[in-house]
Amino acid sequence: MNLSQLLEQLQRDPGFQRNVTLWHTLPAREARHVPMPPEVDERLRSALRTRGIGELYTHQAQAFAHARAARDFVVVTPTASGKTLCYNLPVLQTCLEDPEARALYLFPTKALGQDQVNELHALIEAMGVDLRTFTFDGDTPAAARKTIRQSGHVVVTNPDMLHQGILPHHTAWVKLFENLRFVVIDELHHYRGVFGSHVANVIRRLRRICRFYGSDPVFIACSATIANPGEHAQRLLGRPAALVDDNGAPAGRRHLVFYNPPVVNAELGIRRSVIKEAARLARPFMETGVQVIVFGRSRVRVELLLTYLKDAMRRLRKSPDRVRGYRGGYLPNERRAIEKGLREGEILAVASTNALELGIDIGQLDVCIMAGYAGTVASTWQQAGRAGRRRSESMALLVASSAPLDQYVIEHPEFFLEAAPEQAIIDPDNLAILLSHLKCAAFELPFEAEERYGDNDATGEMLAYLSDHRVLTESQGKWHWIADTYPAEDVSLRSAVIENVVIVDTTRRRRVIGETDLLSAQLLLHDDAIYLHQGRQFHVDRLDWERKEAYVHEVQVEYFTDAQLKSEIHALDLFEEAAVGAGTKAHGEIGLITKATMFKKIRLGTHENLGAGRIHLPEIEHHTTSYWFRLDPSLEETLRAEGRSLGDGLKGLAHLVSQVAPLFLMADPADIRSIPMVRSPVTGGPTLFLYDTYPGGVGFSRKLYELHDLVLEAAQERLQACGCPHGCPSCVGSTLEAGEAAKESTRELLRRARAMQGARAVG
Amino acid sequence: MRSLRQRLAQFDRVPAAPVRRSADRGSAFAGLLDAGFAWDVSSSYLERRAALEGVPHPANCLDIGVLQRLGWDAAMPEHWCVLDTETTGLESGTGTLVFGLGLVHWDAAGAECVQFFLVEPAGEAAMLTALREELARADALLSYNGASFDLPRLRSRLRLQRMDASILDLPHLDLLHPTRRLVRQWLPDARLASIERCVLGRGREGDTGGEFAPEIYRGLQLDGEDIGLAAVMRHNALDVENLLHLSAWIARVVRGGGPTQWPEEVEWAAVRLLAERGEEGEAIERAGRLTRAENRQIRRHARLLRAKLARRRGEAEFSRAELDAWLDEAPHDEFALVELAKLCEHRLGELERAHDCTVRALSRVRDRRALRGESAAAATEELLHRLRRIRRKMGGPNPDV
Repeated sequence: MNLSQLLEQLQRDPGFQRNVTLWHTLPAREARHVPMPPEVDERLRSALRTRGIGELYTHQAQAFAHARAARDFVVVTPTASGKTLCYNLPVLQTCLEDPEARALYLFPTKALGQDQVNELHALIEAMGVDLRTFTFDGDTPAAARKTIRQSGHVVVTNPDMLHQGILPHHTAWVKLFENLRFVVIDELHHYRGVFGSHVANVIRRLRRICRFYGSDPVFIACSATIANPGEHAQRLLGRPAALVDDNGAPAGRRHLVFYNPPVVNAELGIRRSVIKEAARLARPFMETGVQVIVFGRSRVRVELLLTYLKDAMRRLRKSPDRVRGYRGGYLPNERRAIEKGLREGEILAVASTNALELGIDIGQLDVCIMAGYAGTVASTWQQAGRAGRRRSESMALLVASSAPLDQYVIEHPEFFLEAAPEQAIIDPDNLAILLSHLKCAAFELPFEAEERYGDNDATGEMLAYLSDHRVLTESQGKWHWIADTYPAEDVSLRSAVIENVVIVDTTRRRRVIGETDLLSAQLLLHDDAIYLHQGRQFHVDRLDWERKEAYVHEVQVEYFTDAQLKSEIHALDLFEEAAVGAGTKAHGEIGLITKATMFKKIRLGTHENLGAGRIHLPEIEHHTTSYWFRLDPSLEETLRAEGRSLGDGLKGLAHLVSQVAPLFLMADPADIRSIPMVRSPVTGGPTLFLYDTYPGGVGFSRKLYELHDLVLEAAQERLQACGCPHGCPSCVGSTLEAGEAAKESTRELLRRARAMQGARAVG
Repeated sequence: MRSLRQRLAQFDRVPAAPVRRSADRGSAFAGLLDAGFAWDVSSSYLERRAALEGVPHPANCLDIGVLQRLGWDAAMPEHWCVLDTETTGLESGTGTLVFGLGLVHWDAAGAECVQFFLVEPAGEAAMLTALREELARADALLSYNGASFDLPRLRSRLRLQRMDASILDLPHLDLLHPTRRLVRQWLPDARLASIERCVLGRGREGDTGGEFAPEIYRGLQLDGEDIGLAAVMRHNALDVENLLHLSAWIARVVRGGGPTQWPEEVEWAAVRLLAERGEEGEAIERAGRLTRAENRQIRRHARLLRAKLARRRGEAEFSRAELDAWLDEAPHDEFALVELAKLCEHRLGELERAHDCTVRALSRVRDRRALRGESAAAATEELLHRLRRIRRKMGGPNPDV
C-alpha cells in the first residue's frame, strides 16, 4: 500500500472520520521559473547548476532585484520554497563583485545558524573562491574570534550575541561595519512579544553603529506567513520593507487534516491523551513505510512519543532504531546524524520538538503529525511544511489536546484556511526595554545632543534621566557613558523580567513540576490550596514568598479551593477611547494592585462550602498597559430581568476572551490576563480589562483595542461551538469555577453587546 | 497624562541624584595644577612633564641579550615609551573611557615622564592626538599588562575618534608575563602593588589605589568635585616610573652573574627560562648554585635539570655525577633512579648499575602501592619491561620478575 491508498482508506474509515473536523486538500502547484539574471557571476551560476538550480523561482528573482536595488525586503513564502537563496544569491554575488563587502546573518538559535553556515560553505566551495563564512556565537573559541572579526565575509550569529558580544565591542569589528552591505534576518516572525521588542532595539543600535562607520546595509528578512509581515518588518527594522510573497516554488498535492480525540470527561473538558493518539495514528504510516515526523510540544512529550513510536515499530517487526528523537539537549553530532538519516531515508519516523520546525535541512517527508497545536498558525504551517514533497502527495495531521487554544483551532478550521489571522506584535518603545537599550547604545557611542534614538522624541529627556542616575555625563553637547558597568550584561533579550514561583513536588523526591507567575501564584499556590496539575491534585504545604517556591504533595481529595482576589485598578494614562456597540473600548496605562485575601474549600460535584481560610500574602503592584471594554450599565438590569447575572457573564466573558485573544496576537496565554469588574472605579461601569503581563506592555493592549470586534466575534463563535452543557475550561471556564449559569449569562451578554454593536454600525 | 519623568520613576532603584556641577569648573582642577599639571592650548586636557631622576639607563637594563631571553624578536629599541592608563572601569567595550595617561620617554638621553589628564570626555580627540605625537618618538612600548588591558582600550578609543590605531602597533614588552613567571613560586600574585612592595621595596604611603580612580573621576564629571584627582595621577606617575625599576630588576635576574639578590625561587624560575630558550650551558652553571639551595625541592630540580641538560649535551659522566649526588641525599627518588638507569643502560653501558637502579625503583613503586594503596600498574609495567631488557642484554637467565 502506498500513501495515496492509505489516505483513501482513512477517508473511508468512519472510526477515523468521526473525530475529523477538517479534511482539506491543497492542489498541486506548478513551479514558476524565470531565467537566472544575466548579471549573476558565472562561478555562482555553475555552482548552483551543480546543485540542480538552473533558473530561479519567481519570488527568488524578485528578491534578487530588490537586493540589487538596495531596497529592504521581507520574504514570506512557505517552508521548502527556496527561501535561503533569496538572500544567499544577492549576498554571494555582491561579495564576488567586491571582496571587501560584508554581510551579517541573524538566526534566532545557534543550531540554525550553524546549519546555514554549512549550506553557504557548500556553495562557496563549489565556486572555489576565497569567501569566508563564520559562525560567531557563545561557542566560538577565543582564538578564532580575531580572525572572524578581521576576515569574515559572512558572519552568522544570533541577536543575543550581537547585543552582548558584538555591538559593545564594535571598534574590534571596524572592517565588518565599514563594509556591511547586507543584514539578513531569518525567521522574522520569531521576533515578537518581549523578545521581538528587544530585538527591534538591538537593530536600532546596529543601525546607529553602521551610521557611525558610514555604511547603510540592506535588510533582508524572511518570515513564516503571518497577517502583518510588512508592518512587523517595519516595526522591527525601523523602516519600510518591500514584501516578496508571490511564491513560485512547486508543491505536490497536500492534505491538511484536523483530528479531535474523543472526550473522556465532559465536565473537566478532558479528551483522550494527545500523545497516545498521535502515536497511534502514526502507526499505519510507519507500517506502509512512508516517512513520518511527529511534533511534540515539550522535551518530555517528545520522549514519550519516542517510546510509543519505538514500541509500535517493534510490534510491526521493524527495527526500533529507525525511529529517532530530536530536540535541544542532543549533541551536535547526534543531530547531524539524524538529519542525514532523514534526508537519506534510513530513518522512518522522528519525534521532535519545534527544533525541527525551523529551517534545518532534513529534506521533505511524507507525513507530519502534530501532537497538539503549536501555539500559532505560523508555527503550525511551518511544522506542516515538513511534509510535502515537490512532486508527490503528502499529509499534515493536527491532533488537538484538551487545551482551550487547541479546541478553538480544531473547531474553527476556517481560521486556518482563510487569510492569516495572526499579527506579530512588538513594542520597541516599551519604556523598560527602551531604557535598557538606550543605556547599551550610550555605552557603544556617545549620544549627540539632538540625536533621536529609534526616532523617539523623548530621547533627550531619557538621556537626562540617565544622567541624573549617574550613568551618563554631558560634555559639550554630547552624552557620554561614565559608569563602570557593562549594561548589555544586565539585559537579557529572551527572559521576561517578571518573577516566577517554582512549584516543587515533594511527594516522593523533590522535583520541580512547573512554575507560574506571581499573579497566578497568589491565587493558586497559597498555603493549603489544592493545585491542579495535568489532571492531578496537589496540596500546597507552604508557599515561600521570599524564595518564590511552593512546596506541594500529591493528594486525592473531594474538594477544590477557590481564592478571592482583591484587585484595584487605577488608570494612569488613557491613550485612546472610542464608543463601540454596547459600550466603550479604550486602552491606556494602568496601575494594578492585587491581593489574595481568603479562600473557600468547595466540594466537587455538590459545590457545598466546606470551610474557608485566610491568605497571608503581600500586595503585588505593577504598572502596565491594558485594553478595556466598558459595557453599558443598563445591561445589568436587562440581564437580571431575564434571570441572568451580569457578574457571571462578565466572568465567563473574561475567561473566553483571554483564551481566544492570543490567537490574534501570536501571544502565549500567559502574556495577557483578564480582570472582570462589575463596577470599575476607572470607568464607573461594568468593565472587562485585558492587560499585558509584561511591565509596561509590549503592544498587545493597543492591538486588542484595534481588534476589539474580531476578538468578540471569535469569542462568540467559540462559545457557540463548544459542546459542553454549562461551561468548561475551553469556553467560559469550568463550571466548578464559573458556576452553572455562567455559560448562559455569557452567551446573553455577548449577544447583546454584539447586537447593539451591529445596530450602531448600521445606524 | 503622566509625564515621562513620572513614568520613568518606576525604574528608580535608588533615588535620582542629579548632577551638582559647580559653576566654576576650573576650581576643580586646583589640585592637579598644584601638582604640576598645566592646561593644553585647547583646554581639553591637562598635561604634566617632568624629568625623572635616579632611574637606570635603558641600555644598561634591557640590552638585546636580556630582551632576547624575554622572547623579544624585534630590533634593539632606542627609544622606549613606557605606558599606563587610568580608565573609568575595568570592563572592555567601547563605553570605558581612558581619562588618564602616564608615559615615560626612556632613552639614552634620560627619562621624561609625560602625563595627560582628560578634563571632560569631549576633549578626548585632542588628548589622543597628543598621545599620537608622543608615540611617534618611540620605537618600542613597555607596559604592565598592556597587551590585555591598556592597548586594547586605547585602540578602541582611537577607532572611536576615527583615528589610525596602528600607531600602537610598536614592538611591545609587556612586563606582566616575565614578572609573573619569575615570581610565581615566591609571591601569591603578580599585581603591580605586590611587586612594588616585595620586589622593588617601594611601598607607598597614603596612596590612592587604582581601584578608586573611576569613582574619583565620576565625582569630577558628575559633581564637578575634586575628591583626589592629584592622588590618582600621582599613583599613575609612580606606576610608570616603577616599571623602569622593574625592568632593571628583571634584567638583573635574567642576566644573572654576580651575587644573587633575589630569592632562590626566582633564580630557579630564571634558570628554567634559560633552559627553555636552549641556553643550556648558562642554565647548568646557574643551576649549580641552586644545588645548595635551602629549599629541598629547588635542590632536587636543580640537580635533575643539570643531569638532563648534561645528558643532552653528551656529557654523560657529568650527568651521572649530578644524579648520584641527588641520590646521596634522596636514595629512594624514583624519578632519579629511572633517569640514572636509562643513562647507565644507554649511554654509559653500565648494565649492572642500570639493573640495580631499576630494581630499586621497582621496589619503591611496590612499596608505594602497598603503603598507600596507589595504583601504579603502568609504572610497574614500564619498569618490568626495562628490567627484562637489561637482563637480556646482560645475557643472564630470562627474567621472571
